[in-house]
Amino acid sequence: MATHAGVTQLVIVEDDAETRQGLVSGLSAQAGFTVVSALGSVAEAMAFLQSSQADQLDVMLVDLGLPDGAGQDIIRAATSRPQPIEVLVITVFGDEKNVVSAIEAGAAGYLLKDAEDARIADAVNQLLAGGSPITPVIARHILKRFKHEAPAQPQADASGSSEAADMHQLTPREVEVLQMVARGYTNNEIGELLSVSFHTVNSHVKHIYRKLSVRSRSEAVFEASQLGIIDLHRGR
Amino acid sequence: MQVNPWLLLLVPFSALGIFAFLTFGRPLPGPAESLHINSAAVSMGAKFQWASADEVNLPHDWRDLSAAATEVWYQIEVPLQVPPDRLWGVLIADIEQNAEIYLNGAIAGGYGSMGESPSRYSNQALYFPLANGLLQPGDNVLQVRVKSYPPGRGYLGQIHLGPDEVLRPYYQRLVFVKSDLLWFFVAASLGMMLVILALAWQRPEETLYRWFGAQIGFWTMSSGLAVIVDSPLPAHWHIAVTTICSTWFCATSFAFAFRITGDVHAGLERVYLSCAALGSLSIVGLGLALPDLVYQWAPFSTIVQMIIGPFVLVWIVRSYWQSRDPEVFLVLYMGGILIIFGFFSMSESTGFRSGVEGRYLFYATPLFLAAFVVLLVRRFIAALSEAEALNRNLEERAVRKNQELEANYVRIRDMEQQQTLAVERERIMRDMHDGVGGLLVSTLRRIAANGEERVVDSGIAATLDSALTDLRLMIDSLELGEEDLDVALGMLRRRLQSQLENTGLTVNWRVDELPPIPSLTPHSVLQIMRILQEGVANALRHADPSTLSLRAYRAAEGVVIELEDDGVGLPAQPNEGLSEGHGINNMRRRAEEVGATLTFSSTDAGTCLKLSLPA
Repeated sequence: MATHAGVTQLVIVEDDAETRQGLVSGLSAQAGFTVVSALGSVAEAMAFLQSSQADQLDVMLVDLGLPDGAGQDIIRAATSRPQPIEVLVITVFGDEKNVVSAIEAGAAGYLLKDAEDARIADAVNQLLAGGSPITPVIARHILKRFKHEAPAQPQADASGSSEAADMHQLTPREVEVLQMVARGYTNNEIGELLSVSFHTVNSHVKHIYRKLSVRSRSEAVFEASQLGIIDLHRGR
Repeated sequence: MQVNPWLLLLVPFSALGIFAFLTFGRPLPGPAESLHINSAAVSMGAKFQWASADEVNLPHDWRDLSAAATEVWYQIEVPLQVPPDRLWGVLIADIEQNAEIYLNGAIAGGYGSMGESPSRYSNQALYFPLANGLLQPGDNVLQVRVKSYPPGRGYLGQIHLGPDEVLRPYYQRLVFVKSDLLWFFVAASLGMMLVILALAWQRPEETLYRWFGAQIGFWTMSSGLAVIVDSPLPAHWHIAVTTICSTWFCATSFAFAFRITGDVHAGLERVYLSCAALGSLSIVGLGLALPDLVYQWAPFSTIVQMIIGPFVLVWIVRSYWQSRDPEVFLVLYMGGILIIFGFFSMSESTGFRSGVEGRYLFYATPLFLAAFVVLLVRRFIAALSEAEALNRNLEERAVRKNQELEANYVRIRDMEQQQTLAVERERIMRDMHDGVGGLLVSTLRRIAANGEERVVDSGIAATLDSALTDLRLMIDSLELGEEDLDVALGMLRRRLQSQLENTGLTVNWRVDELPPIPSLTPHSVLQIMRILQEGVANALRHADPSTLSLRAYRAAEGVVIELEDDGVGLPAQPNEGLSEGHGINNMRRRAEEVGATLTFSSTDAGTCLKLSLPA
């Protein structure tokens, strides 16, 4: 992903002033990072996303529990822009429920709030280089989510025509990656064990996240049509 | 089509009915060893008069004599060479309506009343024993005085003269057939009526029981009036009531037939019911105003019903054609035969046929009625057992539903508990995010921000950091269960990652696919993670290793987790000298709590902690 003028432009959304300040100063000190704005609420974040400034943005770090709403709404708004902005969730615990709902909303991964600044910078760089952080609990969650469906046929993976259908299934390789993540292997180790590059593992994870997001969206649509909230056949 | 077994009753009942019709109603052959008197001189009026006497054959019906005859004398000459030396008697095999006999000018015997409303020995036998010495050698004159009402309807059947021991048993047989049997039928009809009325009372919504009860009632009444000898009613009222009863017997039969087929023709029903009502009223009117005309006009009321009968029958044929219901067939069959018998009986009561030929209807009808009684009782019982079965079914279903409800309730309660638990957990998580967790994070951030000029001992930052790590381990364990030991290990690695990386240690990680361990709960997962956390901390603190290995694999006894370092080893004597400071007792206690075995093996090339979890 291209960065603007070689500098990664960041926005931090975090309601705790101490933490926000810590993040701002820590990340500003990292080479190649500019914190464009540090916001404390959903309303501010939404307003920012409406503005032209947002077009220059590379990454948003978003806290989920904000005083005026859920961070998931910001994630949805940011990732559904014509030029999507990558979002990392910043969380205290990295607990399953919060992280999964953020990933379903479109987040690319999460960071612990107390992580060292260099580590945060690393994660952002990795993200921009095409990686996605993942943890064992989240891997297990995704495996369970897709469990009831047979893995996609390998040849279908290659053909573009059936890509939409494939979005609802994991490939055998993706399942393998997730199983290894769940057992605590790092992406590097997985790459070694599967004889692929670290980047390939990263892109697998990224792809898996997209599937999860697509799936949760279609599930929401399905539920809504079941409840009669929307009519799938109208206007055809 | 499956034949209703009860319909097979139809065979014996109708056979018996037809048999009764053909045998009991007809004159029986005369007794042996007696004189059969086949002819007599007849004279109408209060006294026998030779002048007007005619010679007639017996049995003799008054239709051939005069339509106005109410009293007729018969005279028979009986020549005897030798007078009998034992008791003899005179048997009149059949009479309408009462008779007395005179022998040689003197009265020799009589029964009941011979007045204006004579006793009704209709169609019955009369026997007169003759005292010794009444019969003389040579010619004897036997006179029979017969009275009957209504006019012109009387007759005299065969007369037998002979020894008492021959005639009496024959007479008794006739009494049995012509009187006792009919009384028995009257009593039986009464009983059947009571049974049916009881059913009607129990099932008021099914009108067919009521109609049938009424039908049997009218039959009981009219047949009772037919066999009673001394009617409590004057002669014309006796005829009036009998006719009204037979009229209503017809009308109620039709109504019953309609109802048992379940196909009521309302128009036809209006016709016969109003005809029956009109007929009854006019008969009562006649009885009050013109009693002498009752016997001539009353029968028309029944005739009207008999004319309607075939229409009803046709309607039922149509109904049968559509439904093919065997019960409807039974109604048709019985109804058809009864109508034929009815016409037969009516032809006698209206004078078209001689009464001498017998009264078939009284023998046949009760049997047909009995067939219907059996059918209805069966219907009633079937309805009852159906209701019972339905009830039982309902009860079973209620019990089943109850069980389902209970199971559902339990399930819902479980779900509610789960839900409560989840809500509670979420609340605690939120609190931890906003509270302890947030505080820890912001404190850590502040310490970091102070940088070089921090006044606080860096030990505080480490303590806060491990507090946060511990909190995270707790939170992770909440989500984990029996299948998640590998994930727990994975999370442990994540949580310790920064710690491990900062020491520059090489980590050898090998976690195989592990079998589920049913005894694992969030609590025991947490205990295992704390044991390993403590193990890692010990290694970092005391052993100064360059490599740390974690292996988790499936073993015969369950799952084995090994944590091994290549450090300096535990400092004291093996087995006993492990000091408190290493937290080893604490680790053992935790292992015991989750039912695992914890062993240490330590050399100067390193320490291995081995945790065995039974599957």
